[in-house]
Amino acid sequence: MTRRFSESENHVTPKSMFLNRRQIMQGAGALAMTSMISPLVAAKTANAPNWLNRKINSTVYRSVDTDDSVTDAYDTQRYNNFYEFGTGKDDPVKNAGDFNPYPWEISVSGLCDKPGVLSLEDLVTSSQTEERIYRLRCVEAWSMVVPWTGIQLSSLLRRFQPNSKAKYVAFETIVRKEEMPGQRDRFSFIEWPYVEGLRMDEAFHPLAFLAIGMYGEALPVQNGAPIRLVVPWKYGFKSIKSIVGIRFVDQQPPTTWNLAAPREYGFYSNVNPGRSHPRWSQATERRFGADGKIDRIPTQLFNGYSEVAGLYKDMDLKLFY
Amino acid sequence: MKNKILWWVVFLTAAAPSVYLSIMFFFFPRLLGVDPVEVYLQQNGLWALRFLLVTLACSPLRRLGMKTVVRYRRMLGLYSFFYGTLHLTTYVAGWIEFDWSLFIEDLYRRPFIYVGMFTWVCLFVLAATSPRWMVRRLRKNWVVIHKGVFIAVCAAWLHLWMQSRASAAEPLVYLTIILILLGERVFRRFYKSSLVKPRS
Ligand code: HEM
Repeated sequence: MTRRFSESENHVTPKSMFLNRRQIMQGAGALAMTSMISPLVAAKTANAPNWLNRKINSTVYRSVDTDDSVTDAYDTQRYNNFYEFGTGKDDPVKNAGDFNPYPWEISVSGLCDKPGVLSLEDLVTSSQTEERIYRLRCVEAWSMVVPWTGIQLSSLLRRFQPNSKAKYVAFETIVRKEEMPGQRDRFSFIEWPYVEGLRMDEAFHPLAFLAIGMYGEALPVQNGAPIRLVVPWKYGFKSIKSIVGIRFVDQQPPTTWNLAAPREYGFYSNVNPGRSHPRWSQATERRFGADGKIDRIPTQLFNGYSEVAGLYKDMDLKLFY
Repeated sequence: MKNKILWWVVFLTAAAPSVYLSIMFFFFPRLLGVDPVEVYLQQNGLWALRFLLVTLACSPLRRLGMKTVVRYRRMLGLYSFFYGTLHLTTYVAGWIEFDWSLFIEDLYRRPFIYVGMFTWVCLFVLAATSPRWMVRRLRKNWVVIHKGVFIAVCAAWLHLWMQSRASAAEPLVYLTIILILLGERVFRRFYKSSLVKPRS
């Protein structure tokens, strides 16, 4: 493990402290504005079951921290790319109300010794959760800093004992046309289900994370409830939301945006300011700050998570974008 | 008198979206959206396209009996240029924040941006040649130049199409309207003109 990682693992932040910080942050102005737009504010996590809330509330470890200031939760909940709920940035928060993520099951299959179906409740109650503050960099050249609650991806994958033939992990989002208006759009460029994938060593990297909560609460629907991937060194679309299927495979699995526009979105999609994109310069990004302000800042290779560089040692990152 | 009032009604109605968007943008940005710059940019772009379509609808509407609309055609066309310029200004001042190296890079690397720029240049030429004395001065050439509006609308749509990435729904709505407006002209030219005596 890298220095950053082991260092921060010793760094224990009691939950209560984190909550206080958050209340102070919100008190400073954001709240006044929030109440003016209350129709949209209606908490989409209100129906999160007790076992989930209890688990998130009892999370006391923050294993990865950052010096960047955390994005206003108000923004994180209202500015989403979750095309299952529509193409506008505010469509997900508007349309999230119809979607009920509980109960939830994840089916794990493919090249592993113990395939099976795991209920979210079993996963959550049997796991040790932690908080990680990660930068999230969207390919659209904006970014946020989000405190996620969840578990390391590898700890889930290990349960199913992938065998040596497994070279990649494929992920799949739920399809529920009745509850997800974007999936009913007949002119969508995207095929459902949304699918994503990681190479095995990427998936087992300690930074790869599964989130069940953010800002100390259960994940709002528009942010990928009830469980989503968070791969902080890759563009946001790799961090697939509302996961129902995981498959260990021996070949590079298809991924949604790569299928929609192969020249624009590669399988790897590592954050890379040096590789220009036909739609957006990736040299800089617009960062949503703590106060609702947006600043243009330079983008870092691997979104600043240089500890993953070893995964791509002998690869030409411009070729394998 | 009636015409004067109508002129003001059209003028103010056409200005309303920009007044609303600008008040929101400058005084209540958070109510416009989490990213007010993006909303302001996109809405001004959409209004530029919409006014281009309204402008193109004027002469078919006249033929349907609404004789007075053509009187406002020039104003509506200028509004398209106005919204397009607001859109461009938002891009330069709000989006890339006067980082000219980003602008240069965008201009040669991002096809949808240079199509947008081309559209804006078309609108600029149309606006610059729109005063009455220009019409008199350019005479026949004016007619030719102002055929450029058809190029502009196609380019504007292409710009919209190229930047849409998840769904074709919205660009297809605009495409349908454009096809109706252009189709009506083609129909008149090649079909109707052979039946009825030619008109202007
Ligand atoms: C120099 C000229 C122009 C530049 C640099 C420019 C740039 C842009 C940018 C950056 C976007 C946003 C893309 C996104 O959200 O990802 C956009 C969207 C758009 N632009 Fe332009 N544009 C230009 C000219 C025009 C003109 C002249 C028109 C119309 C006549 C136009 C109509 C639109 C429309 C309709 C959209 C889509 C808005 C939406 O998201 O629904 N643009 N443009």
